[in-house]
Amino acid sequence: MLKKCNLLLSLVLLMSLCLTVAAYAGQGSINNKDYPEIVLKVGDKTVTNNEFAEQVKKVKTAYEINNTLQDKSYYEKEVLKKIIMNELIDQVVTERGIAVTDEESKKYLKESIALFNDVYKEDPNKVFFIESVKELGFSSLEEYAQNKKVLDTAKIFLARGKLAAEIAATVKEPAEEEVDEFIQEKSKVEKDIIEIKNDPAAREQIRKYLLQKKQLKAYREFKQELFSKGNYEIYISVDL
Amino acid sequence: MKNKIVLLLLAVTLMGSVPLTAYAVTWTKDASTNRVTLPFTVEEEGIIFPRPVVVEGEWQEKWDGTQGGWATLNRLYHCAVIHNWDPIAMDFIDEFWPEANYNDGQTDNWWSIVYPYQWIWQVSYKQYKQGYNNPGTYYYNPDVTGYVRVWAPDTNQIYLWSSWDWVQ
Repeated sequence: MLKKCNLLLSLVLLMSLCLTVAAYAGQGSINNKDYPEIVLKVGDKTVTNNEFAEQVKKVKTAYEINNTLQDKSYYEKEVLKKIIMNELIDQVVTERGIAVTDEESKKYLKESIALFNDVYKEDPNKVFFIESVKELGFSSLEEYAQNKKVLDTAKIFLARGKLAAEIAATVKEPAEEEVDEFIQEKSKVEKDIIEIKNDPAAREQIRKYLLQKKQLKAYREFKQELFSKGNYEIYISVDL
Repeated sequence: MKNKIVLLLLAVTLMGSVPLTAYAVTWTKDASTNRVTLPFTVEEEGIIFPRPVVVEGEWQEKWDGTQGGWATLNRLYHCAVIHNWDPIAMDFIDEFWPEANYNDGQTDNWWSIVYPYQWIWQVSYKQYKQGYNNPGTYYYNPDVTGYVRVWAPDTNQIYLWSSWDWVQ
């Protein structure tokens, strides 16, 4: 009798363990059936559940690789924000008439591939890139870099960069007082503070740094404003 | 007498193997040639594109020499600089977690400096003076490694690491 009770108890415990594991595993799983047929509408773009689930999986993988696991809703938000932001930026790019020439696109691909060539051949990111190029049906990186569709698609993100550069160009250079304040704030030793303050090369570097920081801030504020005023509709329950 | 000769020979051998840098009054190691490409990628309409970021290690150290041919590390300046090789501003955040590992050259012990704060975007070698003084420790043939981590949220990899080694 006691043996039967123990067996029964063991079975109950095993079943509850299995259920817990299954529930835990299901919590983070990403399935297109979890989402409505249309997940997002922004501008002329409509994002389906299949496309959305695919993107969420990719973002999840990226975080997993880096050992920075997040909640499922975190990945969903990342994907939504990225798609909305890119679409809104692309609208501004069109409004401002920002264009990327064939030469600029070719130059970008040539130079960026040359930099990738410097990376050691077993690097997983380099391997990923080369494999992706093969999967698209290209026999070499040269063929990929000269393909019209590849060149035209590159123009999309290169144009976004041009917009960012336009916004950055509107930012004023930091004043000398700002450079002094930065040195004072960052340095711990009085002797160092005096030395850095009197070093023209160091001041120039700090000025550049502060300018880039301001430019990045301006670009982020621009994106934030675009996002808050943007016209988009989300069909899943998420708080961006 | 024989023992004295052996000791003298040993001393000469040891002194002779001390690299010049170790007993220089001040020594700086500028790692400006240590450029590393971080191979980020982005996806646009199903196509993967290269989005490399070039990181350069900047490293300067000040060593005080001693009469015995040993050097003591007096002050270290280190940072990493991101080079935007193309004119396009990428919305990435740089997180620098530099770490320097030194071997004292006398034992198997390694001594490590870990900068306790995040480093910042586009720092120059003089912006942070991670000054420290450790007069009781002497280094011989220092072996230094510096690490940097870059976070690029709009890319496929998000984080990438880079490191530099300088062996004298």
